[in-house]
Amino acid sequence: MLIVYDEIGRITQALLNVCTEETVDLYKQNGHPRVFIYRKELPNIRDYFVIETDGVPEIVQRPLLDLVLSRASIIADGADAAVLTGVPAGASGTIDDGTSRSQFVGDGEPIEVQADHPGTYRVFVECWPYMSNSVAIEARA
Amino acid sequence: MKLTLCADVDELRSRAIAGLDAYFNSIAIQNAHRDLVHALKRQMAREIIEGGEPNPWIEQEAAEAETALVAYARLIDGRSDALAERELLRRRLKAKIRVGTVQEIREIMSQYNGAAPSA
Repeated sequence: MLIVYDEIGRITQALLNVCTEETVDLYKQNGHPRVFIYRKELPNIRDYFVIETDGVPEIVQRPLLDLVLSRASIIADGADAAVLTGVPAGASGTIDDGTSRSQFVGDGEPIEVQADHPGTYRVFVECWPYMSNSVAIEARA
Repeated sequence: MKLTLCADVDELRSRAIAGLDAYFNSIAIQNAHRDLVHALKRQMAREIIEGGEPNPWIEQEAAEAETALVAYARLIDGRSDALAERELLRRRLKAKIRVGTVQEIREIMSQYNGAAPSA
């Protein structure tokens, strides 16, 4: 399998039946320097990424973001709070209340989550190379 | 770090208004579709009748279609009370969405973003 990846290790192409050094050279000549031949099975390229160690690429499974919410239900009074841990610094977060979305960026610290309005919210967190994850929070009146 | 779960109110208002328009427009489309079907039936019935093949069932259909077309004409002329009331309701709801709280907007969305009722 021919693996092509980008500067952050994201696999952009996985090609079968073209596993030759000539193809690797062809890719490099055409502006794709991050390419190599991988000899094992790779069921889903989205579940993996590439790490380079001393210039040698290695396929690694993407870990799941380990989000932990202290409570799944809070009172929507602007004071009661649950604590969300596992959001890395720089992670991109999205709050979805079912009708609209808003964004935030994680700072690596535990997050105190509170709400002003009742509703069911879902907090999505993305941070490469982790697999994205989400938690649901019910804010009660 | 503190995070307050909240709706993006501007986006919420925008979606609520779009949903409201879709809801009321779907009623209008249902009406238009129903009356188009009736109009086609009437046209077919007339063609058959004029062709010398009287059929009681078709005559009845044509009569019903005639009634539906009259009602539709009233609607599109703006003379229908129902249409005027619906338009008034749409405007009132939009005004409420523009100034309402998140809770009020959500209530309107839950009521009017579902499937439109039969016309």
